[in-house]
Amino acid sequence: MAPGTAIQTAERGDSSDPLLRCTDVTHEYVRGRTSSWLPWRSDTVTATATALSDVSIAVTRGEIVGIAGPSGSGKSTLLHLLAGFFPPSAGEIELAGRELGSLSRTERTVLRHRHLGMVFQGFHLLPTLSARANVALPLIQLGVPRSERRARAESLLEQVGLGDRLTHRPGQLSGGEQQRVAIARALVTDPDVILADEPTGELDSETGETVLDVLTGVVDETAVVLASHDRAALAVADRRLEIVDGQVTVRGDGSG
Amino acid sequence: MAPADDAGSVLARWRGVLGLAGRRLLRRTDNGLFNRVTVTVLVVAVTVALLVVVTGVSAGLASESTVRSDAADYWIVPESANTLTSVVSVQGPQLGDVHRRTDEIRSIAGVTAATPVLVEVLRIRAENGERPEFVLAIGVIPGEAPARVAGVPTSGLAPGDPHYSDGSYDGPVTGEVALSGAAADLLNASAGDDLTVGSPATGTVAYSEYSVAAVSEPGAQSPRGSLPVAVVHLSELQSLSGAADGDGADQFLVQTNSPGVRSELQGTYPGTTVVSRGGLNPEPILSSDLPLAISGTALLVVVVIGTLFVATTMGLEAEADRQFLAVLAALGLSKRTRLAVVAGTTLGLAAVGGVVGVGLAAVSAAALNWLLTTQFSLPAVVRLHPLLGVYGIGVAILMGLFALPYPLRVASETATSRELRR
Repeated sequence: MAPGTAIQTAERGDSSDPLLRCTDVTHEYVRGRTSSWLPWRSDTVTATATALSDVSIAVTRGEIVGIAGPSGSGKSTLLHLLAGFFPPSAGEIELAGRELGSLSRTERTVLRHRHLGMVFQGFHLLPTLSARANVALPLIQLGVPRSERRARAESLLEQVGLGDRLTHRPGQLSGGEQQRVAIARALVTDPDVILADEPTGELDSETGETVLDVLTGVVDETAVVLASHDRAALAVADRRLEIVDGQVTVRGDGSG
Repeated sequence: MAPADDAGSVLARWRGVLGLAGRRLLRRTDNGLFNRVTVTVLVVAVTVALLVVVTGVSAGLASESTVRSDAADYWIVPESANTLTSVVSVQGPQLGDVHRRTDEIRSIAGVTAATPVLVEVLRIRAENGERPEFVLAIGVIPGEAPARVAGVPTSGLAPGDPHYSDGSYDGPVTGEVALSGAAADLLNASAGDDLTVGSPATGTVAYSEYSVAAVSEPGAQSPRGSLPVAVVHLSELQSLSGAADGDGADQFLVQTNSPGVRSELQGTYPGTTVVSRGGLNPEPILSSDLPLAISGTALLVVVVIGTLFVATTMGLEAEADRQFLAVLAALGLSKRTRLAVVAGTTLGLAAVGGVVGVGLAAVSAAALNWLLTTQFSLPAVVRLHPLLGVYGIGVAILMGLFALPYPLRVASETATSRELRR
């Protein structure tokens, strides 16, 4: 956070307290539903599939937690659950002391805005906005005046090495630059946790390293949950868990 | 980071939302000229232009400018008079004290010419004529401005009514007679010829006091056909016909370029009625609800068509923009903010269509009026008022408001997780 700005900062707890914790989380999704076409038959057969099963994880400030696994293993589902896009079928997810399953969708959105930043594989920058405007976008919700939004965005873009690309649109930036803009956008609300879903997935190895450097550079202030199938990317993680078919199969530090 | 809720922050939030809505609109125009947004703007613009032009025609009908161009004529006639008495006096009730009233009527703003009209049948013989002929004599008070009475221009007569002399009728007799072409043919008279004028009603005959001051162009005919008409000063006809007592006349003819004068004329004489040129028709336009019906129907059709089109296209836009909305949700922008962006885009698009439509209407109206007046010698049919511009833009925004539920529903059904995985 740039010094001197009037943006309020969320209170931070003890660094050893988990910022984000999920306990025995299971998630099933509906694959199909069959209902009788007869109006007097109300029975419905629902087919479900288990995306995640009994996953537990706790994330504390200053660490990078890597989530490994092949495509379709459930990494993205776990990240989306942690982000509060939908509640888990079973288990608990706690963010900033609040249990997501007990919150409404609106409350989860508010909580996400206050405590989480998100980085996507496909960047998801808005093509008509400049890099600066993309970074400042989440501050609109807070009612931050335009001048402060711009100052905050410029400060963050300089932090990620894009101080000379402020007015460039995404189409004028390389993939690595776009991802750094996305990381700056994730940081703009001063979140507790950054959820990064395959942040190097669309980048070559050299550019990917640059992006990972940026992510590791901000971890003192926050925590990062990094989902990837790229072992090189996961090497920056302090801890790592591997998910296969929705189940955690391996836990360990980032050395392996 | 917590949101601030003071008024400045709320304002900043909504300004940001509107800016984002504008950017979203612009984003869709990046694909060239003919994309969904520009086509929608065009359709809204065309419907609004149609509405404004049709309403302009209705306004023209309501103000009667379309039936008479700039010159609107009114007659003030006694209430018991009928259409016939406006042509030929048949011993109907008369208006009195008409010279003084003429000054009053001429002082009304918007009145370009006004004269009392006394109609009598006179026997006139020209110096080259074989015998006296019956001619319809019309007594008027000519004004400074050029005017026509029964198709005969009064410009050949000296302005005013010198013989009247403030009611004493002892002023100089001008002896000026303006003849219609038919009257000149009938009498075998031309400009400068002396006339012998007699009144069958009173038996008065004036020898060599009158002369032909002007003759109408051969092609210029009375609206009533090729009647032999002689236009003279009112007081001179009053003296001849015995109408000088009470300063009487059959009616007033008022020419104006302002239809609003009608209401002021109605208070001029008790027991009279103001008849417009259209008012002589069996179904006067003014008394019908036709203009209102036309503009009301146009409004209904345009709003329905415009709303359906805006709803469809903006629903498709919201459908296509689900990933954009999912990103906003993932970044923590509330549902209200996201829907406000969609609403801002929809209303902004409708408003832009409205502005373009009003401009299109102005151009169309000018072109239509030019075509009718120059190519077909018809009066202008579209009467545009600045308020119609506000009306057009307002209707466009109304279409946007009516169309809102569909794109908002599509936007609200966006599944964040599913869209982000695409």
